[in-house]
Amino acid sequence: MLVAQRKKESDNILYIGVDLGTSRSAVSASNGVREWERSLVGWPKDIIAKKFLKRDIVFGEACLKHRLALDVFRPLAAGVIKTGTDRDEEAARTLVKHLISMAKPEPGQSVYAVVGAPAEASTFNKQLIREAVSDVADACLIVSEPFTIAYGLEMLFNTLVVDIGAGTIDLCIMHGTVPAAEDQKTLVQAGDFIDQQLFEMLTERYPSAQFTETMVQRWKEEHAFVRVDGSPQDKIIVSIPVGGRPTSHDITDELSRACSAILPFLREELRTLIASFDPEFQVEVRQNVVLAGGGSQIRGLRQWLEADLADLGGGHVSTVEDPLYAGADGALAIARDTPADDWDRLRTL
Amino acid sequence: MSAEASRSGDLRRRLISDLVQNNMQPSRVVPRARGREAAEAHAHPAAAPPARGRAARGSLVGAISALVASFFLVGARAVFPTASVFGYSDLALTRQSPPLAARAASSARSPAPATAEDWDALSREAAGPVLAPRHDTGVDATQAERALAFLSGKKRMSLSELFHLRVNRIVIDPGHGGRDPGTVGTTLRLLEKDITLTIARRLRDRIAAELRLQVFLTRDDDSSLGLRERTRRANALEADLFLSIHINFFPNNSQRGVETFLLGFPTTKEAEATAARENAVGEGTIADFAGLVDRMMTTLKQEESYTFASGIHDHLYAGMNGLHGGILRDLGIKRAPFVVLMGAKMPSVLTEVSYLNDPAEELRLADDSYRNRIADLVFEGVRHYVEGRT
Repeated sequence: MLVAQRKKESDNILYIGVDLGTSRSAVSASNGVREWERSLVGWPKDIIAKKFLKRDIVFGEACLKHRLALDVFRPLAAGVIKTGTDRDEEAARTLVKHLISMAKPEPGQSVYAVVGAPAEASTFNKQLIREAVSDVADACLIVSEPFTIAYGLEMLFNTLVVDIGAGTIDLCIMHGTVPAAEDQKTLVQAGDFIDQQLFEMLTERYPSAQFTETMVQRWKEEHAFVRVDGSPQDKIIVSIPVGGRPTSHDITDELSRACSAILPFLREELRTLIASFDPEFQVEVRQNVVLAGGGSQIRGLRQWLEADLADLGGGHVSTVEDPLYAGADGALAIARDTPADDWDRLRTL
Repeated sequence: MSAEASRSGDLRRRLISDLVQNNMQPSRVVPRARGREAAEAHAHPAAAPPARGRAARGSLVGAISALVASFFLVGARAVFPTASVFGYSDLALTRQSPPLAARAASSARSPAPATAEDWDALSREAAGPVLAPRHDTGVDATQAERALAFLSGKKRMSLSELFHLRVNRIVIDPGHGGRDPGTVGTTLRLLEKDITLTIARRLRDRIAAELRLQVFLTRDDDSSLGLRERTRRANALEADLFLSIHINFFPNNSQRGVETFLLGFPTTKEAEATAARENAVGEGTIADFAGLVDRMMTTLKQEESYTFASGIHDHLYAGMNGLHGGILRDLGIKRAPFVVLMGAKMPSVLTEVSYLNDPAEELRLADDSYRNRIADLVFEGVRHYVEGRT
């Protein structure tokens, strides 16, 4: 094939990397588009709501804003796509289609997508994701999220990726291959678990305060922290209505305890995974622990993990620079590196 | 370009090739090395032996052994011609049933017939007189190789592996139902019969959609069904596999785990107790059982049931243990005298996919998503077995 012809063809292809997350999903595309959306899908509850919203379907932040007028669905939970009802599956399909459409493919352009999903969803919900993508893309690859992160960071050897999301923490050890089941561990004690703990603790401490799960999630996202060796921490004061009157509440201790609730689970799985690796390379793996996902932003977590690895001989923990787009960027890198012949084979699926 | 950059490029190409392969064949795991082996492959990518060389050697062996295998194939048919010897020779030969096939083809999933009469009608449709090989039984080189390995005793394999027999039809049995609720949760009062039905439906849908097999449920609603009637239906349909789904209740309240059963004499008191509980609706006698087991133990049905059970149990335990933060006990694969498995002519397994004695587990089971996850784990086990036969 002539070089010019090949170039013309490649110009007519849009590569998309999608990070399908429980709380947020992100898209990176070869045309420069980078967008994210809360992983929420809402349908107007009735004809009045539809008229008011002027839309048949609502995505992301708008679902929270208009939640009283919507039936809101969160398509992923605990690391897999919810499939209890037809509406659950429809929500997942619609979200995937919406994410790809956010990349703004041009008419006539071939769309090749790599979808990164939580490790278990990438195994159990492959068919559903593929069906959803097939309506809006010409071919797709479904990959586990920690792998897309490692690929994007070019840390494919003796690296341990800890992807802390809302539904799950996915731990994945990279040793120069596509991770197999034994290379990955999934914990359901993740961001949602912290929200749940915090909600319960605050309800117990401030029984007359009025707050919702969404408010608790927002406080966590803004202030989450883990104490390291009794290090001092400024007070975290939030405004919560009591009997309709905004009142200041100190949530420092509750937030610290809620965030720390995931640590015993994380510690155990991290150590199990390291111990399962080839002993000759365990030292190197401990020096290459990468925190990703929204949970990587918990202040003090990186230091806590490093301190915890000390009794194994020490280790180095780093945090991805852009947790929101690390997965989508890695997926886009995979999409771009996949040879045209392989994309042609995937088109036929 | 530096050597390091070149190696990195090679590695990325190899990874993407594996990813594409995984996506083309979703259930197949691309074999790979860990640790040192991977590092060596990375440093010396050309050192990996080419698959073509192995295939070429295989075909030579195959050609030499083809005559031996042909002799064996003919001999096997002559020695074991009917179900009375193997108990499941219908795994090898299926009656061609255009109406049933057409019905299955017209719908991705096969709904369970509503009444006993429907089941009888369906059985009659399935019981056409023509016996035809489900697969081309012509001996190819690979088959001959397997036959040689089998004959020489170098490789332990079942006859279904040897003949490369495939699974076409599965009957899934949601345990209990109707006036028999099964076990009952201690906190939310969840009923075993409801949970097993949700899981079975989900499993049916996935098997039909993704494995493209005919799938039937013994019951698709909250109806009462005798234990023997369940296997009678599977036999009438000439199913290739029978899978009965249950939820456990451990008398020891702190016990948590999953276990899978085949028909046989119990080897532990716990297995005996579980069988007694699941048999509680009271059909079958020890005499029935002893006679039947004697006959069956001489056949290879047990072997296939074990392989089937292993696939399901391994996936189920690994997945459930992961979901429970590694605290679940692997209660393993056991033999016990379940009446519901007694009359089945095909490989049959009973799996206790969860347990209702733990309030936390009952809370999880109240959520359809959790039930679906369990169904997905069982599905992976079924897929593992089915694809091992293709």
